[in-house]
Amino acid sequence: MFLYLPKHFDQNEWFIVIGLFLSILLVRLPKRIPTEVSYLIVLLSLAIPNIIDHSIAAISPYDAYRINDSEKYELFDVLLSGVYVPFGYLCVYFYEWLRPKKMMTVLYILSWDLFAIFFEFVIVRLHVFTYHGWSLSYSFPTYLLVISLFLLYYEFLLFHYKKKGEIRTSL
Amino acid sequence: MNISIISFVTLLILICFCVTPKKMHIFEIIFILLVVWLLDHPISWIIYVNLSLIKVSTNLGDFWAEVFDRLVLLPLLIMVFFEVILRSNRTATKCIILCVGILILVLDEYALLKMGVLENVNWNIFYSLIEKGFVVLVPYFLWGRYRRKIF
Repeated sequence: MFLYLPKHFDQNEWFIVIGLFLSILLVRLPKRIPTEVSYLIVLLSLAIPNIIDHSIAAISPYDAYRINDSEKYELFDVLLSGVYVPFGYLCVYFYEWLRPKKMMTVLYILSWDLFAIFFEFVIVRLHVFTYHGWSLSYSFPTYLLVISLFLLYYEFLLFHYKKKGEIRTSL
Repeated sequence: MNISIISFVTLLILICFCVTPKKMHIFEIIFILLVVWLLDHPISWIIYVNLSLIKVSTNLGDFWAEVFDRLVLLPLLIMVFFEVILRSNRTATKCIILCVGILILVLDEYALLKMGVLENVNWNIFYSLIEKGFVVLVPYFLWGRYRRKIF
């Protein structure tokens, strides 16, 4: 079968539906990030979990965790990608809003790391993920790395966005 | 051995891509990379797991060779094709470049099958053409729209 439907429509599916609904609400937020940069932020928020899920859970010999009801690729596995978007987007959105400096940046990354751990704890409880070889303790350094790189990526995009604007005004 | 060949070819193309002057903006390059990742992963997931048309080798070296190919080589080749497209003005030339691009990606998959990185269960060249066509054409049209947005 091309895409499997869930075996039972229970708590994990409901969680994904609510998560998607919250993702759609993001468009109502006041604009703080340039549009072309927002596209790239949303795309990366979608791509990173996709790659990680695919590489260490779905097809790999590691088989670290199961996503949703079965080992197969389900419709709700596709929809799950949309649940990650608010996480990545809001992380950058609040970063842009608060603009933390020096140690505050560390505190900001740490608080998002803790939030991510809590979020993962909830989704494990709701059986969105079922661990085989993975543990919540592995996620702590993983999120720390991913969030730091994500903010670095945002700064990189912002740098090029400003450079593009300068070129435009000088012409 | 397989991972050395794939990483050598990938890094060689990557170095060539980095040193040549580009018409594409950095945002476009990132956009294409992310869109290709987003399309290619679910599609290969469906092909490998749901349809079981191809199997990935259980050998760890071969597995990482496949990951490297999918994460770096495939998007890189697509970026190179799109960069070449930007240098041509005629629609016919653009179509030819897209077709040649799809064929090169099919050839890459064929090479992976021959090297034993992927294992053929029920795969054929037409499936490969459809898959690679989708992975090239969808990013091409989305990239066109994004390009109009940023310029």
